[in-house]
Amino acid sequence: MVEIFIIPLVTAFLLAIFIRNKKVVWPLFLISNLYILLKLWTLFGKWEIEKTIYTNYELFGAKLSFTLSNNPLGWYFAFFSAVITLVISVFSLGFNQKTKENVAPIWMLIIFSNLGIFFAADWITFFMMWELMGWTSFFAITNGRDKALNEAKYYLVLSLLGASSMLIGIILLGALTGSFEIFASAYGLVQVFYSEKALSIAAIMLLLFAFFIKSAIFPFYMWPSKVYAVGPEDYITFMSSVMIKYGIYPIAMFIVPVVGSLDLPKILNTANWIQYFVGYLGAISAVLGTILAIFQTDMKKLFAYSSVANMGYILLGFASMNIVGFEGALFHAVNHMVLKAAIFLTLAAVIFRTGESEMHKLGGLVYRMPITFLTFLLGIIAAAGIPPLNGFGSKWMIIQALMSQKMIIFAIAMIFASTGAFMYLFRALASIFLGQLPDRFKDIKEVPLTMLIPMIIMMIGMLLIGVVPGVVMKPLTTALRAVGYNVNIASWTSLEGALKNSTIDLTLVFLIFLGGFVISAIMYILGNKSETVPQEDNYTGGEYPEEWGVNADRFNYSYSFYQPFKEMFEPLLEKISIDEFFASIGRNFEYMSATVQGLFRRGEGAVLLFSIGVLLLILGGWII
Amino acid sequence: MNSIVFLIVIPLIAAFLSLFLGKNDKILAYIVTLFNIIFSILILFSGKIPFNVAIGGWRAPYGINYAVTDLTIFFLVLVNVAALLALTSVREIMEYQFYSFYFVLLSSTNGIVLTGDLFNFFLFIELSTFAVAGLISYKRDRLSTGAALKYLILSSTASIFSLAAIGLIYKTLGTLNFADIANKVNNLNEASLSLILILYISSLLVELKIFPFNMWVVKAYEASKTSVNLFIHGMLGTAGIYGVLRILLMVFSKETGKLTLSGNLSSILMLFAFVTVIIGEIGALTEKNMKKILAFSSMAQLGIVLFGISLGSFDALKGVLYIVISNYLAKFVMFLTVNEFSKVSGSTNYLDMKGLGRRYPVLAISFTISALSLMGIPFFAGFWGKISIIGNAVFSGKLELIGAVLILIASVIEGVYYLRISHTFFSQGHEREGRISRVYCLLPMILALVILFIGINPDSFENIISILLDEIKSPEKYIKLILSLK
Repeated sequence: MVEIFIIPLVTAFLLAIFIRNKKVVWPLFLISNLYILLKLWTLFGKWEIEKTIYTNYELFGAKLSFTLSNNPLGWYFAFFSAVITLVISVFSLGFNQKTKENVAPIWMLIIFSNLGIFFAADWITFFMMWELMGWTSFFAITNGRDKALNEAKYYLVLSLLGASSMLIGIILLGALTGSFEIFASAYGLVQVFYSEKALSIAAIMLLLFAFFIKSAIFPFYMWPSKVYAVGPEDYITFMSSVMIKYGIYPIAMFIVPVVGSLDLPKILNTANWIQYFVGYLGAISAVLGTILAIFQTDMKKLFAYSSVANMGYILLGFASMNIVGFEGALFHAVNHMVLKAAIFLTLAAVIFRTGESEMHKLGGLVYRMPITFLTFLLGIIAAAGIPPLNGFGSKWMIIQALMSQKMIIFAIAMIFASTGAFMYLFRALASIFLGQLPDRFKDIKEVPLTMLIPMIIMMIGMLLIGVVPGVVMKPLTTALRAVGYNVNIASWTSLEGALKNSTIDLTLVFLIFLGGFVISAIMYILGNKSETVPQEDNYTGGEYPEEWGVNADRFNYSYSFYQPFKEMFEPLLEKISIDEFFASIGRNFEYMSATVQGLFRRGEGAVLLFSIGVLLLILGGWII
Repeated sequence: MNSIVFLIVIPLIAAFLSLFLGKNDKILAYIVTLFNIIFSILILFSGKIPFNVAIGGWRAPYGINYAVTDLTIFFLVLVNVAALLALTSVREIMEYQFYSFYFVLLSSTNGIVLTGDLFNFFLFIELSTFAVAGLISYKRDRLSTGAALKYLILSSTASIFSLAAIGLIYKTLGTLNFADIANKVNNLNEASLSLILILYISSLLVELKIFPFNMWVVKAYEASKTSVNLFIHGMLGTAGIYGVLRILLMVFSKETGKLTLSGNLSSILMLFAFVTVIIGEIGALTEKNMKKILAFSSMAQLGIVLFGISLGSFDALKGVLYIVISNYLAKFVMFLTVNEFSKVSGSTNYLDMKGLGRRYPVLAISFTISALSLMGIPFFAGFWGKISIIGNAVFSGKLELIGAVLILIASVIEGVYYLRISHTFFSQGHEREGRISRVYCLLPMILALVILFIGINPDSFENIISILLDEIKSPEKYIKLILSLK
């Protein structure tokens, strides 16, 4: 247990020493991740392992202690994030041959805090790890490049605000329940909820605030699009797949059990207001994320908004407060980890070869990077939630849970978002990989083997989880059982639903799809021979491109791809400009800063201000 | 232990000697400072603490006495170590004025910490004011002269106020001895105590850099040399905090060791405190000059210190001591780093220091560690202070809650500007001529490691703090120590 915390720290130190030597850094990074994964593998089932460090530091009359324990739910998150991290670190081996900066030491610290967050048994440890993750990711995003500074600052401010709110929340919780232990405080909060209603709700809300920020839920949905667009691509893969789940884990660990055990009045006989609050934020994130994703021209921003939408799905699963919805949400967390990692790896590969992340400047890469294309294709099929791949099962479970809880609006929002997902996913596919290959990308090659292997692994992973969901569902249900939920251990291939007769066998589904694939393959073979035409032919509809003054490069019209759709939603988006709101707060602080500096620069009226201060001391009684 | 007077007298003699020694002043400065450190450490381990020294054999209420208790020796060591650390940043040859004023400052800060008499305290504060003003104006340009004048004007206003307060105390209680005042303070009626406190606190707040009283801070930091910044921060600032702890919490407190200011004085103090924090952090937000940033930031840190003190609970006071030590160490690291970097880059603008962190990672990492500690991030010393102060503020009342929220917001702002600077250090820069000797990287690294060590293992510092808190909790022991018949 302790080794998985010491190893990342030692590795981070070593990486920092050898930072200039890439040949040492990235293999070391890989080995360390491999070790963590293997160690986590052995930890499965040993839920009683615990390590406590006692201190003499007193807070509220009790001595603080830090506990790390192998809790099942944390293990579930930690294990799958370790798998993804390992795959990404293989990718990093090849990816970082060209880059000047080196993110590895900071990244290793984040992996340390990652494990800490998932294994923390008390809030103080949790908070310490959470803060560590906040500032280290600032440095990881900027990675010594000035162009990333503004975005990283935005992330840092949100992160620190979230941590501050969490600190107050934890203190409230500790004072209310008399314990900083996560499980004990959850139990205690349920006990004192009815007598200390306002404070309890305040504590829950303050914690939710922090978690929502980290998972990019509605009012804070802006940071992924900013950060992913500028950060180092391999680290961004980690961020988009693993780090965005940090808000999900504590919600599943603490908020859901607490709210589930409370007996709050129900609205319209369906659910209590906290469920609706969480659910609406989830629904708005899902819908808004989807709409915004549709309009992006930068592919990293597009998938950033897609992440926001997916976090919305997960939140909807929690909001249903139904065991199937809960399982579905946790299942979707892992599914999203896998498919987002796959997609971002392909994006990183594309950027690695072309240096371009604006989609309308790309196109036709399928001819040059077939494996990358295939990974991306499977990734977007998974992201769209189409059956033979992963992503389907979890969405299916969440929608069922919402329906069975009579939360129709949320179900509609989710179905809208899933449908909208087709629009942006297809658009990305069409703009990046299909269409015409611009002349300047004629000579590019497929990425090297170290980057191909992770992509192939991700493909296999997506297909495996899609066909045999038990790979994830079995550990999940085992973990949930160990925590104390009354669930059946899932079977390898079938998924249980919340409605009647809704159990589906995904292997059967896969076979049906395979049948369809075989039939269409036969039709393709038996059909007419395909004819190869010059690229200019297929778009021009009989016109001569030369007459329009365009060349093959400019044929790839994927700029303003969904213009009519955009015009439709423009009025809505103009009204909710959270980004502008936050930016104006920042600007106001900067104006104030100039004022304060002016005050101190001239320093005139020092004695006057002194006298005002004395007067305030004298008159204090009347003012306050 | 009558020899305790050496701590004050020897620097004063050295101040006189330094007029004639010319270039050997530097050696003299090191010798005297080392003497002070070794002497205070010897006292620390002599096992005689607490003890009381009556000067000239006049017993306590009648004569001047120097009392050495746990709190005193803690701050004594801090002040003298600060003097040595600050001296290491003096590289060029300074004229005798510099050293002369330095010795006077050393003597007076030691005196502030040691003395047990209110008027003596006032004298030392005056002495330090005059020394600091001289040190600020040492550069002899327009900026530094103006800054020194500003400081002189403000602190002489403050000294008039404190003199009036001292007069009032003598009139009403008939004594100026700390212990005697603490003994008799309950005899004072509410109105006189309030008046005395208002007069005295407003003079103390000037040294403490609290908002409406602190117009000198930024200019003074900007105009003076790094070593002088460190003198102001490490010696004067630390001694000032000691003064506040001793006088507000142990002398003028009606209950044992709590800040029981009459009327709404403590809420006004709290208001000052969090306004200072906000103003300090906001002022630093868009500033480019590193020295000004650090000046704003030390204002803010002292605001947090005052906030913690005015909460009036021992848990918060513990947090205050953590903040004090974290700020003490962190600012040293930062000033030393800025000193080195500005020598290479030729300016104090942090944008000119771009890329220096890649060549000198030790300095830049130390700077980052200190910044994180000031922000109150876990695993660094400042966190233990922040969590304790915030935790106690949340449940104390509405004003306290607002203050806690404002301090948290301020720490977010602090994070933005400090980490931006750290980022600038680590970003790609151009090649430069100058070089920094590895030796000069060593000291900031050691101090940063201490911050990290306290942050990871609070036990190491918790024991010291609990001893200090025990003393603050029971002022009657202090009274007994000084007033007991021998």
